[in-house]
Amino acid sequence: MSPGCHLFASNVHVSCFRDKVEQNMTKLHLINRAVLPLHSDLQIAGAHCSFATNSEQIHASVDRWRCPDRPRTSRTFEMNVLLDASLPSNRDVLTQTHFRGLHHLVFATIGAYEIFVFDLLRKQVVGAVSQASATDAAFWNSHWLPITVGVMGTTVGAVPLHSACLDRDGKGLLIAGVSGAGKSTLSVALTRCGFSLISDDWTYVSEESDALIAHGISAPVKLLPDAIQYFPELSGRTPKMWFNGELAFEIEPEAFPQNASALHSRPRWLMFLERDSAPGCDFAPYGADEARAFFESAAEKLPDQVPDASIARSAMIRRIANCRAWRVRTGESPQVTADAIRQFCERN
Amino acid sequence: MPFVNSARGTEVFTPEPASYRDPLDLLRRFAPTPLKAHVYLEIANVLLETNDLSFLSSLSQMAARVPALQSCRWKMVRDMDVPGATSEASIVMAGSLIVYCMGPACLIGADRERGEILAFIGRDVDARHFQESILPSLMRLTEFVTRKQDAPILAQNSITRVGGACNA
Repeated sequence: MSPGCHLFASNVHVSCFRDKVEQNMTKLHLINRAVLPLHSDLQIAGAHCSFATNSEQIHASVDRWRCPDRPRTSRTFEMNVLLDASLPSNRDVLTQTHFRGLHHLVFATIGAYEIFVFDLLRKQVVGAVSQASATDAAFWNSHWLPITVGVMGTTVGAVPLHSACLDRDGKGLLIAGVSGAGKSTLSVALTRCGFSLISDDWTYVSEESDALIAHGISAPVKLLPDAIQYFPELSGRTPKMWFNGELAFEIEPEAFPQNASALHSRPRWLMFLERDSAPGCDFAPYGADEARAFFESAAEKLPDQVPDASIARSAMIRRIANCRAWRVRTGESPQVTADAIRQFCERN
Repeated sequence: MPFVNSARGTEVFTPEPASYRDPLDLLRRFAPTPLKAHVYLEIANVLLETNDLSFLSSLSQMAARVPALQSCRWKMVRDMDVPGATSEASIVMAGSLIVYCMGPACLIGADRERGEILAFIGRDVDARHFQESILPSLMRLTEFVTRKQDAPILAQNSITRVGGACNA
C-alpha cells in the first residue's frame, strides 16, 4: 500500500471508528467531590480514609469505621463513590469481581457495570456502583473496605503482613505461616484460650507515636472445609466460594464469644507456624533475618511508580522482624497447639 | 520524505502471548510486555509496549506520514486469563484519570498527568473487534492525554452522563 493509500485508509477507518464509538458508549461517570455531598472520615486498619458519596445508604453502611474529622496527611487516602441508580443490580460480588493492575492503577469490575479504580500514586479511589452495592452493608464492611485497605494501605503507612493476629491483655501475637499452614484454624482455637482475634490472615501494621500497632479489619474468618473435624459446630454451615476461587466457611466476627475479637494490639510475640506429621508442639527461636525474608517474600510486588511505599514497607517489616520470634512446629490439633501457645506466652 | 512508519516481514521470533503466572502478582501488574514500537499517529506519537504483536498490526493501519507534536505511552497487555467478549462501555472520569471499561475483557486507564494509557485486553477480543470497538476509544483517550482538553471527544449524544461537571 502506498503512503497515499495508507492515509486514505486511515481516514476511512477514523470515520468508521467514530460511528462505532457512538454506538457503544453507554455510561459516563464524572466523579468529583462536588457531586458527592456526604463526607466522612474513616479509620480502617490504621489507614485514614477521606470518604465521600452521594448515597445515604453507602454513607450509613460505612458508619462503623467513622472517626472524628481529621486533617489530611500523607497517610490519608481519598475514596469517592458514586451511586448510579440506573446501573443494573444483577451482580454477584464473590464470583463476578475482577481485578487487574498496571503501574500505579488498579482496576476492579464487579459484574458488568460497577467499576473502581485505585490510584496508588495520588492515593485516591473512585468508583461507580449500583443500588445493589449501595444497600449491601456487608459488601462494604466485609469485602470492599478491607480490599481497599489491602490495595491502598501500603501507600498510607498501613502495611499488610501475611499473618494472623491475636491480642491478650493488650499484647499482640502475630502468627505467620505459608498458606495452608493452619493460621485461621489455630486463630479460632486461640479465641477459646483467652485470646481475642484481630485477624486470621492479613494484619495491617502501622506506626503510632513511635510504637507499632497491629490492626485487623473485622473481616470474616475463612476456614477451609477440613476445619470441620476440629470444630463440629461448623456442620450447620455451608462453605462458599471466595474471590480467589477457594471454597471455605465464612465465620463473621460476631460469631465469636464476647471479648474474643479486637481491632488492634501492640505486637509482642511473633510465631512462624509449621505443620509436622510427628506429634508434639515445640518452640524454637527464629532469626530476625529469617522473619524479614518471610514477610518480604509474602508481600505483593509494588510498582516502580510508588517507590516510597516500597521503602516504607521494607522499613516496617524490618521493625516487625525484630520482635522476639519463634518457630512453632506442631503435629497436634489446633486446640492442643493453641493451649501450648497460651502456656508459652504466659511464660514469655 | 520517507514514510516514517514501517512494517515488513521479519524473521524475528515473535512468541504468542502466554498466560502469565506469579503468585505474588495477583493483579498481573508485572506481566511482561517485551514488544516495543514507536507508532506515529496523527494525534500523537505512541510508544507502544505490549505482549501481543497483533495490537501493533492494528495500530499500524492508523499510522501517519509525519510525527505529531505530542507523544504518549501505551502499555497494552493481552490478558490470556480473561475469556469472553466485551460488554457495554462505561467510563469513569476523575481528575486527570479516565477509565474506559467494557468489562474484564477491556480495561483501559488514561492518565493525563503522566501521558500514558494502560490497558488489559481479553484473549478473545479479535483484531476486528479491537479495531472497530476499542481502537477508536484509544484514539480519543490519547487525545485526552496529549491535547489537554477537558474531555475526550466521545460521542456526546449517546452518553448517559452521571455525576457532575467534569473536573478534568
